[in-house]
Amino acid sequence: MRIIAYRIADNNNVVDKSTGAAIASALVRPTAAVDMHNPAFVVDVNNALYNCNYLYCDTFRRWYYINNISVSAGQTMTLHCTVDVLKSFATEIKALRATVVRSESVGAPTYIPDSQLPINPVVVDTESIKFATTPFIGDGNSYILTTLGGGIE
Amino acid sequence: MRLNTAFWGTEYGTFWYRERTLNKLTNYASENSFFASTFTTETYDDVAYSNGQLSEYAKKNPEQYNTLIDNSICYAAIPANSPISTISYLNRTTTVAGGVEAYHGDIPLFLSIAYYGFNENANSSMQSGGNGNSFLANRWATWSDSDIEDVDHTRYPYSGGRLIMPIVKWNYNDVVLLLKVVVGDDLTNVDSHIFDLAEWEQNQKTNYPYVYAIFGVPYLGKAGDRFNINYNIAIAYTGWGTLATSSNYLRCSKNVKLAIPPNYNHNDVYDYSPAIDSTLINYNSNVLVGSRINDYGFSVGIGNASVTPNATLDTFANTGASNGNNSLYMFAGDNTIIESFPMGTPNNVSRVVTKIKDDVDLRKLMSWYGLQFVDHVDKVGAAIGSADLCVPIIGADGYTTGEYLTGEEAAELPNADWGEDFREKNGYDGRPNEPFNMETELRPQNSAAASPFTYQYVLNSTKILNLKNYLYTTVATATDETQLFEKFLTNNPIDCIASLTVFPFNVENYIDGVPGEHVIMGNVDTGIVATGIYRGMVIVLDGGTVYYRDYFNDFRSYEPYSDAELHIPYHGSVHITPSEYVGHIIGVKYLVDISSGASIALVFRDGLVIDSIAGQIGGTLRLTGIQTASYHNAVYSAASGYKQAKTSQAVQGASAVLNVLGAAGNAIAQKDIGGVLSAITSGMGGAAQNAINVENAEYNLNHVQIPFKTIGANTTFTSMGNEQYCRLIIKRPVMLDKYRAADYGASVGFACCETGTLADYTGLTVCAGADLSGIPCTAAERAEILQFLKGGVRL
Repeated sequence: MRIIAYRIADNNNVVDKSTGAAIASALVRPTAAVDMHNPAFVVDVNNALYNCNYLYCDTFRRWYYINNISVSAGQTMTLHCTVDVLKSFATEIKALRATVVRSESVGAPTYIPDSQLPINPVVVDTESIKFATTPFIGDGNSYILTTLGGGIE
Repeated sequence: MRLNTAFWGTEYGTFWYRERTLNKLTNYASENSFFASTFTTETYDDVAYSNGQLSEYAKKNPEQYNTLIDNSICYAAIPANSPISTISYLNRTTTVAGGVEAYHGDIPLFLSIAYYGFNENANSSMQSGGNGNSFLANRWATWSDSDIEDVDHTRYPYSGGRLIMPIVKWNYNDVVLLLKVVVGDDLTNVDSHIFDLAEWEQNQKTNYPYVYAIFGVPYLGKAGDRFNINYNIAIAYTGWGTLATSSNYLRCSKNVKLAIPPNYNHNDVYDYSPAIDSTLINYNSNVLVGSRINDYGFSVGIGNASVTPNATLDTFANTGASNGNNSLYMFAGDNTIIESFPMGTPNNVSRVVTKIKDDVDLRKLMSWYGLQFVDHVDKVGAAIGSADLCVPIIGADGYTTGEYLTGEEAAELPNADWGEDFREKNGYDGRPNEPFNMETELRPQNSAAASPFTYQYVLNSTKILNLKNYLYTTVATATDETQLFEKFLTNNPIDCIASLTVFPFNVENYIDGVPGEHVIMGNVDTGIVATGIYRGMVIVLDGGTVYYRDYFNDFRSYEPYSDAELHIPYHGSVHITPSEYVGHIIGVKYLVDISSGASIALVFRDGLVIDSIAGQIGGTLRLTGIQTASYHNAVYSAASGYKQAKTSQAVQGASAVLNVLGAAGNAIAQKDIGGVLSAITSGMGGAAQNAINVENAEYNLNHVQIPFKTIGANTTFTSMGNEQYCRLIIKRPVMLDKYRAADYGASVGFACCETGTLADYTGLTVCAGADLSGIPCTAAERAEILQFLKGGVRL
């Protein structure tokens, strides 16, 4: 079981985290059962590992956050980790079909009402659009006289 | 004064126009060439719009259409003497000596903007006319990064296998025309050259004095690189892209179709159908004899075996010359002379050329289009506001004037400034009018509403004064007793007036009136001549239209975020629901009862009435006058009393004398002195009483009271001082000052509701749910992934 350690800066919710180059590599020497989700990897002391916060385990084929490092007797150190399911299954996740309700890549508000959009609560923009034509300008006034009688054909 | 305007793009589609064509200018030539109307002559239709003022234009220029025209005809809102508006019929006027026929007058022309169109099917080709080939299918895959705005392409779906082009609006500020002229050295052996206008004026005019055409090559630009992109050269379609990487999306071209073969048995009035006789007429350059001017004009081949029907009907603009593409040509009707010339090789062939008159100001000619222009290519890159730019003037009525400004005056005009948002400048930027005959059918001129017991007259202000004089006239105007009787004694004319109502428009324009009728009151002929109304108690006024645009193109354009109301003159305001009107044409029509002045304003969404509001357009007026019959009856009565008193005085006077004398005689015989005095006194008393009676009767005659009468009362006329145009008032939300879309998208994400593959998304993505069954992970991991997706992941 070998681990390859990195230092990442991405948030946990980034699916395909950018790892950069590997900083250290170590052979794991299990002294007890190793949990796949929250493993504790026991390796020989390697000062480079202190600069790492992320690793890949070839045995589990998963990526892990390094949560803590403890040094034990016998020149060994234990890396306490938690699996990163996003990076570990990034390919499968990106192939998922899902119903997306919020998206950065949409790029702009859509026709779906968004209550979080920071709309000014007190200011409105008023536009007054004048129609192109009206019958009430240009031809003058008319008077309609209604009489009794007249119009007898 | 307003400058410039937003022009509208084109529609493409045989289907579309066939459905809409009602005008008789149209001449169907074939299935593929059908619309020979005011602006189009071809197998395709490229039509210019401006501000949706077709109806107004038609009203102002009825002479342009000597036959039925309906609202479906598209037009450019420019006046009668503009080149576009002269497209109707070509009148053959004279036959001149030497066998050369001269034609003057209208020449078909159209402005073709955005000739290429949006294609909803990315890889399908457009039958976009021109040379009939599948023109370079275009490629407005994205609109947001262009200066051309998609108005609503979803309105124009496929139909019959043809693509209906969208209407495309482009901002006038984004376009500048480089003016070029096609010139030649003589008319009989035309050899054409093309120069920039300024270049020709300064250096080439002596060598090439004849101007056959002027056209503008449109240059388009976006903010930052405006006017630096010349889309003059078509680029082969290689795929969908943005406007920044494609080209040729603006195309203006002249398209003349005219056939004047000398031996052709044509009518005096030509239409421009290319199928006048397809065996004789061809517009394709490769069969036109002597067609050396085909890059700017038209030519005709006749009786030549090589002339074959050309199903594709090449346009003038596509005859091969590079300048034929993407150019705005202008042949103004009154500014142009069309002449035909027999050709030398081969013989017996005529050619038709056009020549712009020598005294035409070419820049003014171009100003009718309302597009800003420059006269030399070196000035094309000038930024807006530059003194090199010529900016056409548009009058307050929205029509171009044929005048332009340039220099500092033009440069300083605020609306020539480039702005981030030009929408406000477009004002009521309309879209093409739609006929109001789709759903709601109105029934004006309904004679059933007219009462047979009354009659109505339309009076103008002069006639109203005549009426007033008449109603205040007593005996003075009666020339004899007969007239006196007829005019005054049979009834009181003012008693025969039911009402007088004033309207803020000329009613005669809307009613089926009978001019020249005498105003009759009861049975009295007033002698006042007016227009009588036999029918049409309810008339319909067109209050105009406006396009309610989707300002945000998102939920903010709708309630409850946006609100809208219509101000309707004489009716107040109507609250309208944005979701019912956004993306549609709002129209207002008034149903007016001309008897009472009451009205209903109907609010249309396209052709359907959605809202209505009652109002009062006509206002009643107080009307006063003399009850002449009553007056004259009183006069007659008083005169009769006076006459009776006088008669009584005379008769009783004589009788009294005799009585006095008799009584006095008896008293004298009886030596009764007292009796004598009593008789005399009694006689004198009777005479005095008679005198008093006469005096009273005379007084009564001289003081007959004139009876006045008032009819009706003035209504309140404040509405006449209010805004006389309908207005669409929209209240839109405003974003907080520090809102940045990119930051918001990255931190919160834009609300949407889409189902798709996550690989198609980038950045923050929040899911409502997903099917994770395909992921080879543990159940706990699957749950964790789902939790992440719902909380938002960054892809």
